[in-house]
Amino acid sequence: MKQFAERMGTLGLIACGIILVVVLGALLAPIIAPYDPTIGSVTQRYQGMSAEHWFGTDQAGRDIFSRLVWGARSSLTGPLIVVVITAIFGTTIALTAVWFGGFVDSALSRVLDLLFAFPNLLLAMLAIAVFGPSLTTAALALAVAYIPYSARVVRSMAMRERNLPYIRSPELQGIPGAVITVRHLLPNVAPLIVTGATINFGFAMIELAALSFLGLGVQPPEADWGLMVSNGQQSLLNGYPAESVLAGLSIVITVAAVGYVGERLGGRAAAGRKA
Amino acid sequence: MLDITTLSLTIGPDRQILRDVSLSVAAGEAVGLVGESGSGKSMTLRSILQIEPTGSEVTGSITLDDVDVRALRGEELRRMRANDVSMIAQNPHAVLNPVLPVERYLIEGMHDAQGQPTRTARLRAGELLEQVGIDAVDRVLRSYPHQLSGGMLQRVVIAGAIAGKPRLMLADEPTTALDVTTQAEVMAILDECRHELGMAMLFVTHDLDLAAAVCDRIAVMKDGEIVEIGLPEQLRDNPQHPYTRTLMESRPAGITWTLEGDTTP
Repeated sequence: MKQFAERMGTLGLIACGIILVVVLGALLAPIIAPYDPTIGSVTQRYQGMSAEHWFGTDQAGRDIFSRLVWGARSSLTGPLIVVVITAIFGTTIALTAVWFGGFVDSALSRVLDLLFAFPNLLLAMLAIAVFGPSLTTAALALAVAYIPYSARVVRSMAMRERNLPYIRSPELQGIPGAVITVRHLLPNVAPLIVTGATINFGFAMIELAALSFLGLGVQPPEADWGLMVSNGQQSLLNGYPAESVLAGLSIVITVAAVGYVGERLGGRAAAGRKA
Repeated sequence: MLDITTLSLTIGPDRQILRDVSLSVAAGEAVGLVGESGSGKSMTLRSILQIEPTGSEVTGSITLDDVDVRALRGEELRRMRANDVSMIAQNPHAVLNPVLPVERYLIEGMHDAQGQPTRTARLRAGELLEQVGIDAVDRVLRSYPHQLSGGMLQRVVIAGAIAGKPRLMLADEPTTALDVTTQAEVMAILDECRHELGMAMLFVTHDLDLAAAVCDRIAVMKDGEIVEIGLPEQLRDNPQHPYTRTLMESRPAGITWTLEGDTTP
């Protein structure tokens, strides 16, 4: 614990605190949020900050604080789906390519190059156009778009490890490739996978928010930060900036916190390798 | 048993590493490959297991009991490495995964490579360590590679190498990274295990005297070619090739290898 604190530094600990608050908020939303995030009253619309409505209400008279708290759920689960799928498939593809090398490696690498050629959001929109807008579709589509990034990074590191004696010598002992890959290679690239996942988390969060903003992700009246930024445009024009600004801030702060912690973990992984 | 016939290895357009190397090792025989760095002795060894550097072009043939080992692929290649031929490399610290205890290394070799049940492998691991002259078997089994000395670890590697009772042992300077007294001990253990199991051995070293002490025949290599093959006494008393003569003259005078665990002045 003390080591962890040292490695994170003051800023890192603050970032961890922010992440903790957001995660707790998402988990405990039913307890924390004072109002139903999807039901408002027209008579209550556009209220400023008050004791009843801490951050005021939106154009439909819904409590903004409650929507922010509930919104943390979809805003976190979306990127989580993306990074988990990306890490699993990216790593599998990378390690397969590295182990077999030669033709398999070239073939897989070309497929990844092909995926690279599509802008992430475009690929996601394409999927949404086919399967209809929803958080799941958007997250799955983004995951597919992110796989090449994750695979490329893991592949390059695994490639280096592949030729080191501790990987080569079990091969000479006649130990099957799958066993060597899972037992010896995977644990040694694992820190990189974790770091990559935290960095991807930030990107995924922003892009999912963008999709929700465009109406292609989370659907109204559900609460989602990206959706709230988009929803708040009308209020913004009417002189009530709270909804857009607060939702936007939530996204920025969370992404920054996750990114910083990821960077620290990455530095830790790199330092661990040198030792 | 092992027949290497006109083996040549080229890297790129003009770097010829091996030139028409022909060599045979009979069952149970120990053959030394002696030469200076870059003479191609290790590369000969590596060609047998198909671990020559990528991009090298190999011609000629290598057969093990009439099976063309260069033609083996995939599962057949794996089986050959697991059951028929084992290799001992120079630096044992590079061979073992640093984050797993020694026991896992031995069990993995026996279970995952040779298909013995884990329980048998666990029991055998201790026996093998006793066989290579380790007393504190349990302590060593639980140790991580960095907690053991090079000599101790090389014994562990030898234990792993003889676990599958292979027909052929490839030893690539197995004692070069060790200090002199440990060298003699490890060499003695290797020799003893070899005789017990009746394994053939191809022993790569730059030390002619060491090769003379443990090998039945010695091949001298220079610039990718075998310049002379003969019995150790022949090479010592009546070297034919000028290079062999140079090698004989350049060794430290008055030191002869014995295998009782020490060097006698």
